[in-house]
Amino acid sequence: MKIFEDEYYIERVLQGDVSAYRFLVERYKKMVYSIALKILNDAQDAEDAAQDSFVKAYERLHTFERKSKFSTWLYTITYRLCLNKLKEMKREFTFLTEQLPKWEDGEMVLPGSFNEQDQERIIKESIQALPQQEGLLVLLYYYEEKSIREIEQITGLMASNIKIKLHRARKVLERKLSHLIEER
Amino acid sequence: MKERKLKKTIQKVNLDEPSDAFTGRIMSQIDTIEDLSLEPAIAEIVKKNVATDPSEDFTSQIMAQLTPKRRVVIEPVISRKAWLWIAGVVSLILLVAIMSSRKDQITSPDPHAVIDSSVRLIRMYSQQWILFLIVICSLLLGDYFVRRKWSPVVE
Repeated sequence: MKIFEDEYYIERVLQGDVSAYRFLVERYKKMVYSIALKILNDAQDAEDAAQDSFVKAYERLHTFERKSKFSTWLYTITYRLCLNKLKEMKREFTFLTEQLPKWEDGEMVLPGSFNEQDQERIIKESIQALPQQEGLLVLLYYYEEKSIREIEQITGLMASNIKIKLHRARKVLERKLSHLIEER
Repeated sequence: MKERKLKKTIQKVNLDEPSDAFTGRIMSQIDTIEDLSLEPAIAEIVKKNVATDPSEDFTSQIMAQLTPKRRVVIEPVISRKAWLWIAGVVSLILLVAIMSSRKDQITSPDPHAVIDSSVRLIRMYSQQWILFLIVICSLLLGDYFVRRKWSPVVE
């Protein structure tokens, strides 16, 4: 259903109806921004990169061959654009040099019970604490429900590598969030 | 020769073997990696919380940067004029066929004279006809592919 809707709006944009693009921006802005934020680690840079990604996707929409979902194509643009920005800033995405989690291994020790806001903060911090790339993979796999194949396409990583990183991230998340599960 | 003998001698030596559980352990590790499903409770909260919203005027800032795309009009390979020419040539051929059939009618009053003379005419110029058909088909195919490939818009 989502694909057909995307297709409808893409076609309208290609026919010259710019306003139809608003629908696509609204639908994917959260994910595009989150990907950018995961890679660039700075809210302002991420916002600029996310906007650039949408503009670039618009400019290249006529080259979108429908071999993949529009979202996969868009996230690939975002991912590459962010990596280029990192290069320009002479910073490095933890692609080869894995950064260590900010927290010590082991579950979070938090007193008392958690309200919704606490939960949200803890989860975000847990994901934030993952090495950057693993955080991004969690976002794509668990949140956006992209398949391994689609993630391969977006990131250019090998399937086995993606699986290992996801497996590692899953273990860390389950350990860190075990308090929340027990609470439920 | 000496080398081969040495190889054979070395190959006689049994290699050290890992424990019996070695393969099983690797396979269970692979199975664990293959199973990427999060515990349902965690999956649920991760799904709710992992993505971040951009600023409120995010969409309007993007929309302000976009200019409407205009569709590139691809002229068909066979223009209207060309089709008129083709129609003219075909009509001329038919006319010649009719004329020659009338000449034949004087000698033989055959009711199918027009068809016969047309067939004769086609046979007479068979090579030219084939060439003509190839050209028309190529133009039609070219027309189809050009429209299909380049009809999308560009800025």
